[in-house]
Amino acid sequence: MNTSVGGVYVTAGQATSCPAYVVCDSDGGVWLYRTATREVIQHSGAETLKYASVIPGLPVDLFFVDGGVFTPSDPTFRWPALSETSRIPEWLERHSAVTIMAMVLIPAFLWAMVVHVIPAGARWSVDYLPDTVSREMGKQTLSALDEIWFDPSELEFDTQQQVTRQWQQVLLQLGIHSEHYRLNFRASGIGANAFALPDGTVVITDDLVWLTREHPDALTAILLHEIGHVQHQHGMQLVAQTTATSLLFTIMLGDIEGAGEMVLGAGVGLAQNAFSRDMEREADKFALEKLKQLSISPTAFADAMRLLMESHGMETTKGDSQEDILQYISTHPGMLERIRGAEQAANSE
Amino acid sequence: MTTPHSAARPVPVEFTGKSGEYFKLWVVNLLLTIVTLGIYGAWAKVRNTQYMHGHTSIDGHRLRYLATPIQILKGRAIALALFITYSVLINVSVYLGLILPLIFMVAVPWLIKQGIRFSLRMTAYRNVRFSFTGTYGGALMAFLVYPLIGSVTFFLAMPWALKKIHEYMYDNITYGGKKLTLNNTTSFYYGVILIAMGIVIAIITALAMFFVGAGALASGDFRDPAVMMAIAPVFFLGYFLIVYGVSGFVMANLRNHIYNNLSMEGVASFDSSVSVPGYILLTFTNGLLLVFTLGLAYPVTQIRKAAYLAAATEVILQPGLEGLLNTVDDESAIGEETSEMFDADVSLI
Repeated sequence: MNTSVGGVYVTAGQATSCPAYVVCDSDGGVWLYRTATREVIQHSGAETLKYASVIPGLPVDLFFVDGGVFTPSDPTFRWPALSETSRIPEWLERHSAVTIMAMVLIPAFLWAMVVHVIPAGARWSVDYLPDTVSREMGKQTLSALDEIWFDPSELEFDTQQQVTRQWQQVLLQLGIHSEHYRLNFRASGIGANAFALPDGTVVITDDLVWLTREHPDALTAILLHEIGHVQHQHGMQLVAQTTATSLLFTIMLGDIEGAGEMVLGAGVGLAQNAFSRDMEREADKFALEKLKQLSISPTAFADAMRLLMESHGMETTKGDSQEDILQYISTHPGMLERIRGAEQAANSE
Repeated sequence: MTTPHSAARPVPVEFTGKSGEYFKLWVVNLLLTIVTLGIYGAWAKVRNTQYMHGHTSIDGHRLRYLATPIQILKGRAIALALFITYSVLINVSVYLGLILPLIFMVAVPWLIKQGIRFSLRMTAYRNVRFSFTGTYGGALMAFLVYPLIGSVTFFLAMPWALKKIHEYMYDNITYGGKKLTLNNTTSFYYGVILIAMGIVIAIITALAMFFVGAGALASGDFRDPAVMMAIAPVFFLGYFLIVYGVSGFVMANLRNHIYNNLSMEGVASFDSSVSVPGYILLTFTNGLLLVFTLGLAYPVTQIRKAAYLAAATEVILQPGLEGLLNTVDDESAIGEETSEMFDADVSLI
């Protein structure tokens, strides 16, 4: 039986239209008639016809080879000649079971990507990056930091020498090749702090040297923490991870705007801070282990944290309820948590 | 061919898209996009746009979106390659990091222009495509120079800049070889934006007075969580009033102004009667929907917005529409698809 459907025909490349109807042949060809006069406008074989995408709730346009378009008036009408594959997307888009499945799978898949796949990929990829990349990045980052945050160190030469000797001693005793590692002194308004750059450049501020003057083991603990970052290639990992995550989200969710983007962005930010905290923990663990190896008690690490807290005006005796709340938005684990970790390590000796 | 309409006649813009139907389509396409790491996104973009265009009809004829997924995919692949190169270079070298953004800044107007052009050329009404005749020079002025002038004059020239931007975006649209003309007036932009600023200042003053009062009561350390919790609701109320109330006021008025002064000689003119409270209510409820569904209601908000704007719009068709010829061929210029990434769409309705 031949299918017949009414609609509107618009002539090729022209804004002129007329009511029309189409009768389908059994072999996929069609006859197009003008409704008013019932005369044939054209007859086309199956091979010359093109169909528009099949979209839920919309009629499927029929394109003739000369550029004319016929639109069925019934939005639910589907051409008998449409292939099965061209109807698959519409089938998926119409079924509620598929909708529900999608709503479960979307967050699950995103979570797996951000929490497992990308970090693993970042960890794996840093081994394959040539050293020149991290060296160049370290150099550029240091010069940028020098511009913004740092001034030349005001420490006396003797003091610098003394700390450098301590640092070299640590590297030597642990058998770490010191050619990649360089210790830099800088004055800065940010207070007592230390940084590790991907290429093995470690920067300590003058304030930190003054703060730990009476506690050389505490300084060793901090230096070990920074060495831990370099040994684990945390800097490069973080760059790879951030780039991969933002790239993936741009590709996958480029079409989502506004609040959705904000929610996703915040989620990714939180996940990334979690990784940053994991890296800090890893560096802490490295420091504690190496302290033991150097026959220094891990309490030196706890001392270092207390000194830092005091110098930054934080109370060491306050409970950590506030720390718990702030934890999720922080890039570092709570100081008290880190102190406890060090003390536990000391007790387990 | 058909009965020619001899006089101008106003016809409504009908939008027949349904929230549930579009949500199902959108969410399935999002899943497919995510699990294919973004590749299906090109198909998703086309299907989403086809749904929105196809459900918008004027005088019984639906708008049609003609871009093919392969076109979009190709453009996105190029954009992705450029983006990766850009981020790598920017991370590797601080100096490239300073120069590349400048190059990018100069390229952006071109990309926006190509993006507008692409989305218009891929849109057809009655088998005749829209197009865009804006030049790079015009885009450079509209998207870089005018906003710059607007901001260096402490926003005194911003209303004028906005007027020029709209002029560039709408005055260069063509349909069937005929040009749209926008007769927007600078004084209207100043009027609307001055009133809006007056409202903003009033809200901020009221909030400031409230905070000073509250601060005095609480003998005010705003960092205290208890004080923060107490003032947060008022702060957010002010924020929402400004974001939704004032921007809704501006958007509704400017939209009406643009459409009421837009015409194509002998073919069509427009009538827009978006009500300010109605539009504010729409954007506010859409915002709530997004927040409370973590962005999942995005497609629903799209449908609600399209339906609302369509209902407030009328097209006055003139006899010149019949017999217009399509002047746009299928070929698209380099960079058009690439810049589809920027989503610089001019919304036609």
